[in-house]
Amino acid sequence: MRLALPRSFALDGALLEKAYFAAQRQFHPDRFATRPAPERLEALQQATAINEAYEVLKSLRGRAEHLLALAGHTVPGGNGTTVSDPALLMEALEWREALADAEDAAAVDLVRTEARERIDGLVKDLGSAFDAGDHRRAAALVLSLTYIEKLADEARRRAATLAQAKRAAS
Amino acid sequence: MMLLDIHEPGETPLPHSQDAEEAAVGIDLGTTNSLVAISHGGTPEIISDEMGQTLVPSVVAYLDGERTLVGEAARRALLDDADRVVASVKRLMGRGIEDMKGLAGQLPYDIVPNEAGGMVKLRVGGRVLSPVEVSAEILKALRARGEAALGKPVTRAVITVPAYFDDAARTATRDAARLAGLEVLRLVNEPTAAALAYGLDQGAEGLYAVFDLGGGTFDVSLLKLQTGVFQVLATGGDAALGGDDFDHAIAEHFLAQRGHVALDVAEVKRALVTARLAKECLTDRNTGSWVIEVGGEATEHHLDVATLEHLIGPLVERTIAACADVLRDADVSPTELSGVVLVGGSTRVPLVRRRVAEFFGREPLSNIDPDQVVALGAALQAEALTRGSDTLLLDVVPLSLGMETMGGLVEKVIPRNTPMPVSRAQDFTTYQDGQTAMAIHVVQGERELVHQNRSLARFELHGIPPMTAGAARIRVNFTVDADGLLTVSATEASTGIAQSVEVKPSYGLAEEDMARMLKESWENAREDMTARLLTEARVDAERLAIAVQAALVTDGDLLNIAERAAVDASLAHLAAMVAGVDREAVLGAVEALEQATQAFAERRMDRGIRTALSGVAIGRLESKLG
Repeated sequence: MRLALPRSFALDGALLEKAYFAAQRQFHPDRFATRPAPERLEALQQATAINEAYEVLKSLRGRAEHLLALAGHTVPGGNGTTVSDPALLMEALEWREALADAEDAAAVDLVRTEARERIDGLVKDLGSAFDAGDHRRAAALVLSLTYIEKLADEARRRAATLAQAKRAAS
Repeated sequence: MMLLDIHEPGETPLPHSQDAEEAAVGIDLGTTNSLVAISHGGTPEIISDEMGQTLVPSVVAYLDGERTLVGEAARRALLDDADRVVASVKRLMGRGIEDMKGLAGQLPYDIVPNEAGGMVKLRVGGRVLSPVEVSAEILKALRARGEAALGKPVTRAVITVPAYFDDAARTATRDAARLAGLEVLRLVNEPTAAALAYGLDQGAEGLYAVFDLGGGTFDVSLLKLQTGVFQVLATGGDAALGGDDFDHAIAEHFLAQRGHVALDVAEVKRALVTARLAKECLTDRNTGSWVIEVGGEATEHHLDVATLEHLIGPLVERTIAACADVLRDADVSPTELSGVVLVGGSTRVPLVRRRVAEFFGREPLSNIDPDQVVALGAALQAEALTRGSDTLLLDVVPLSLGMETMGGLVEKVIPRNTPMPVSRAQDFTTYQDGQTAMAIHVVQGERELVHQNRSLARFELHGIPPMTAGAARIRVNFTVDADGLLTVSATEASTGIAQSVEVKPSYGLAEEDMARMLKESWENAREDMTARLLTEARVDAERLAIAVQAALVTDGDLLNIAERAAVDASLAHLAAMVAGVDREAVLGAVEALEQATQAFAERRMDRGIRTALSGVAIGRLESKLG
């Protein structure tokens, strides 16, 4: 509500950015540089809160977790809870093995592409789960998303390391 | 009739605004050179001295007695009076002795061991100085230059810092400004300031990479520019990589050719000056020879471009690797960029330009002078902060901030590239039964292990009620303000016992040091300024007189007898004024001599152009044959 946006998973990125800039235009500490100290402090706090809201909503996973929290649902695997979905654990293991087996840049890129496709699919499913008001399913999907995003990030780093090694060798 | 003014919050300056009487400037406090600029109505300009010089060399000379010189005059003293002169002090800001790098095992500074750890101190001309005090001298000179040109007090400034400066270096910069009597409106990251100058000047939109290689620091930032918004997406770099390191590599190469020698501090400084000269010459020439004198023995050293590029190649590759990191952080490929902007004097090195062009797959932009662009952007931001503006600068935290956990590991609390200002909390717990205190160690950096990162502060939270291990909940809160400065606080949840520190102890100045220096600087300020202005005027006058005398020797035949007599009379008058103590008289004599030599200068230029043209033709021929 800090950015006065509708509470929806299908949030348009351009709309979010526009709302973010508008809010920062109003409250950024740069606008208050010559104001008295209490106003400066207030601006600092507002701008901090706006940045936090933007960071949460910008990431699809952050947005989903936020919506679930608003609906009173927690995502398993978060603070202190354990993950007990064997299918998910198995999938995560398979992804991890695929990445470990990928020895050259082309193979890593393939894993990245597949991971991205899986992420796109999960995001689509999340959208329909939220549309249907099925928060239990949405929570499970967010957990899968967490795993795959982490793996995609590792694949990205791995690709960069391989590219660097190649540059150094040539 | 009175009209009602309606403003957006924060856009109106205070009714009792000091703008009319006091100016707010932009300052680029560089490793090699510094500049001061001012903006009116969105048009920034560099403030130059009476001689039209825009750059102030970041060099301070502490001559005998209490005389302190800053800038060009100090730089000239570097060769003759090396142990009284400090250059590149920015590299020492917020740094400990373990960060220092020597040449043949000898630093170009005389370091005073500091048992307490923390920021180094220097021994210069019999005094012991903190890098903060030396930087304050440069800031005072810039302030004086601004006041002389604007005719009103300069009390507030936007000061730029490398994006990759850590918390200690930012704090040190702020302290230096305070010592110089300047209120810091905002510390702005250098690449962001450069983008501001480019964006507003060129109406740029899209994704831009700013490649900023200065004398001692390297930054690369990726920004998204759109109408009025400058949003930093990612930033990276190396706070100890710059043109100075190129000079080091060249000097090492020359010294290696002489075989092993032990150098004193003055010899190191002179070797570095020579190396820098070689580097600058090879920007538009292919080869040259330079002389180094150590222990009274002079040797000549040859250097060509291929060897130079071999020497500095590994350093340049480090900048390219940082560019790759930043693009990866933002998940952007080079083809998505709208442009690459070059900032910093070291981007004049041809190898740097070539590698940047290759990496990004496009010719970089440098249509705003890379030496000036940061100061121009800082001036724009100073105007925006004091008079209001439609532009919005959204910057990020450059280096991850975290805490030490069990086993010397780092738990990141605020990851790098998080938009500022930001506040994040993380919960920690006790690991022993009945533990009543917890040590909090704040670190900055990207590495996994504590000792590989910079330690910013340590403090202890006491009074935790005795509980079983893991039962206490200690919430540690990290807050980074709009200047990129960090505050850390810790609270135990069940009792609400709180403690907070402004992160400063490890590398900042102690408050009592600061108070003493402030007091000293107030006492000396007035005398300092009058003395400095006179000294500068004298130095400039002498420089002009020497130039005119040299010109008379080579091109005296261009003047008729009457003209020659007028020039000689002006020279004599200038010499008399320089011997006095009246600055205005010296400036007047300089102006008179300039007028008397105007026609002479024009005729010399005509002759010079004719000679240069024939020279160029031969030069080109040679380079083609060679």
